[in-house]
Amino acid sequence: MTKTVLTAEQWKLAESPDPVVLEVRNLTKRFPVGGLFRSKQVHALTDVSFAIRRGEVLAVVGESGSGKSTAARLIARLMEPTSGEIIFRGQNVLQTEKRGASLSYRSGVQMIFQDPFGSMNPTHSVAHHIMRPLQIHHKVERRSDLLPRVHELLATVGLNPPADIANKYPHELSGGQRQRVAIARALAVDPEIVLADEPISMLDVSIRIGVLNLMAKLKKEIGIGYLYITHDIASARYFADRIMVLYAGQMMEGADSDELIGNPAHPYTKLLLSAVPNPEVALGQREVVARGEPPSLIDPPPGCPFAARCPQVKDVCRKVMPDVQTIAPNHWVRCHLYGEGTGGTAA
Amino acid sequence: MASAPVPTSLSPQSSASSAAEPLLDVQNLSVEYQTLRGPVQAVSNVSFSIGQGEVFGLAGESGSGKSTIAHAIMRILHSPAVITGGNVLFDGDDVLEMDMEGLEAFRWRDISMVFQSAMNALNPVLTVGEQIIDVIQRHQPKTTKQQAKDRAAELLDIVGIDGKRVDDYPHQLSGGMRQRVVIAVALALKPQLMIMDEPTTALDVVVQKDIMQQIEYLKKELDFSILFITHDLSLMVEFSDRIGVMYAGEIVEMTAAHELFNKPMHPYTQGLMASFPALVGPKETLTGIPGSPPNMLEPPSGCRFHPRCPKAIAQCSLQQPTLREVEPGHFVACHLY
Repeated sequence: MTKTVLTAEQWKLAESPDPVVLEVRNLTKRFPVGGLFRSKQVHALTDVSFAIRRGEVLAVVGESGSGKSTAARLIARLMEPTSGEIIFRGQNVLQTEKRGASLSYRSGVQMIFQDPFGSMNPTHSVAHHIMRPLQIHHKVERRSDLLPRVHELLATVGLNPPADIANKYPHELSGGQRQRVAIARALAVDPEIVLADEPISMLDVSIRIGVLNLMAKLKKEIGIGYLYITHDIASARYFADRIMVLYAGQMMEGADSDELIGNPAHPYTKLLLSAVPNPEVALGQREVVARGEPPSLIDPPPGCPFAARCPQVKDVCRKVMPDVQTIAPNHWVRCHLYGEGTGGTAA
Repeated sequence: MASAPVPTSLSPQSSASSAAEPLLDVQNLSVEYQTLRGPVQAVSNVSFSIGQGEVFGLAGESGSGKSTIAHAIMRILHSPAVITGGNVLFDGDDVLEMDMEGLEAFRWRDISMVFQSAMNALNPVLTVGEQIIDVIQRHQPKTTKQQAKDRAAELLDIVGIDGKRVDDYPHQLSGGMRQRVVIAVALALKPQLMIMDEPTTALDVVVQKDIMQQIEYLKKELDFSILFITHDLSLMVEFSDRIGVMYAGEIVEMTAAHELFNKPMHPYTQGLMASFPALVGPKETLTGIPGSPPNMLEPPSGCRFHPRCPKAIAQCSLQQPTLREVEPGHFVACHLY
C-alpha cells in the first residue's frame, strides 16, 4: 500500500520561525473485533499525518467515530499504534521507546481529558494532584519548594486564592475549576505539547470560554502547542491556528482556521459547517448538503469513506481514496473533485 | 427534508380551548429538593405559557432548573423533589390536581416527552415496533395488534425511518435513528404538546440538524406545541418562537427568540451570548461569564446573578428583582431596567 504522507513542508509550515515539536506520520490504529478467528478489524484511524510547532494550536475536528480521540490517545501513548511514526523533538519515539513512553516524553507531551469529574481522585486534595507530577518528574529541588510551586501553578490557571484551592477536594470544586486544576497538573511538568481532548464540552456554557482563553494565554506566554480535539468547529475557529477535518478515521481537509471555514473545499467539510446552528438563518432555510450518517468502520470498502453520502460522488470515489492535493496556500484536501482526480491511493 | 405527506389521521386531537387561551399555563411554579444538607430551591416562582402551535424554549445551564420544570409538568418528579407551590394548567385543567387515573390518560395523550439520551432508554429485547405498539395499545385498548403495527410503521415513516424497519431491534439502528424512534413514540398518541429535553445533545451536529429539521417539518404538518429545553442558545434561537432564560431556578428574561438574540437585556443573557464563538464574522475575544453558577444550598442574596454580574449595583445584593415587562413582550428581572 502506498501511503499518503502529509509532510510539514506540504502543509506550508516553513513560514513560521518556530520549530516543529511534534510530528506524526501515517498514524494508523486498527482494533480486532468479531469471532473466534478475529477476522474483522475496526479501522479507527488510517494514515493520519500532521505536525505541530511550538506555540501553535492544531484543531482536529470530526464527529464521533471520526478517530479524533484515538489520535490523541495514540500520541499520549495510552495505546500503541498499529503503524506509523510519532516524532517528538526529532526522534521517532516508537523506535527509541518501544516499551512505553519515557519520563521525558511524558513530561513533554501532556493530556487533558474531557471529563473533569473522572480524571481526579476523589480522596486526594488538589495539592496532592499537582504535587505528584512535580515529585515524579523531579521538577523541584527541595521538598519545601513543592507547595509554593503548587500555589504558583494554581495562580497561573486563575484559581484564587491558591492556598485555599490547594486544600480542597475535587467534589468541592465546580467543573470549570476542576478543568483548571487538570490544566495546572499538566503544566506542572513543563510540557511542550498539550493534547486537549474535548476539554470544554462537559463544562457549563458560561465558563467554557474562560477555559479556552486560559489555554490561549498559556500558548502565548509559555509557548505551549496544542492538539485540540473537538466536535465544535466554532470553538476550533476561536482557539486554533489550523484545523484538520477527520471523517471515519481518514484525513479529509486541512487549512488555516479562517481559510477552512471561509473556503471549505471538501463536501464533508461543507456538510459539517452547514450543520452548525446559526441563529441568523432559520432552521428550515439552511441548505441541506447531504444526509445520512457515518459508515461502519469495520472492514470498510475501498475508496473515500464519504462516498456513500457525498452529493458530488463520482465512480472513482468508490474505488480509490484520493491523495492530498494542495489547492491554495496552506490548504489541502483529499477529494477527487480537485486535481487530476485519479492520482490516488489504492486501498 | 422528508417530503411524504403526513396522514391526516395523525393530526392532534382538536382542542376544546379557544384560541386566546394558552395551551399550557405554568403559574408561579416552585419546586424544592429536600436534601440531607437542607432544602434546595430548584425552581422559584416560575411562570410562562405556551400557545397552540408555539415553540417555547427554556434556556439555561445545568442546575438552572429547566429539566425540573419539565418533570414537574409531566408530574414525574420523584422524592426528594417536591412541588411547593403554583399551578400547571393544561387546556384549563390543573395537572397538579390530577389523580393517578387522570395522569395516566394525560401523559402521552396530551403531553409527551422526549428525554435527553432517550435513545438509550429503548428496551433492547423488544423491536422498535413493539415499543410503539405498546404505547398505542396501553392508551387505546381497542386497537388490534395489526392496526397498531400499521400505525407504528406509519409513525416511523413520518420521522424519516423506513417503515419496514418496524421489526428491527434498537441495536440495529444508529443513535440518530433511535432518537427518531423515541420521537415516533412521543407522536404516537397525537399529543398537543411535546416536551423535548435536550433532544439532540448526545448526537453529532449533522444528525442534530437532520432531526431538528424533521421536528420542524412535523410541527408544521401536525400543529403541536413544543416546550424545547437546551443549553445550546444558538440552536434554541433558531428553533423557538419565544424563549425564557433561566438562572439558578428563576426565569430572568423572557421574550421572542429574535428579540432575545438581537437585544438581550439581562446581563446573564448578554454573558451567555458572549460565550459562544461565532462561525462567521470578525473574530472577537470573548469573555464568557466570570465565576461559576451558585451553590443552590446557599443561593446568593438579592439577585442570584449579582456575584457574577459585571453591571451589579448596590441594590442587587439586597433586593430580588421581579420579572417585569420593560418593553412590549420583553420581560426582564433586573434592577437596571
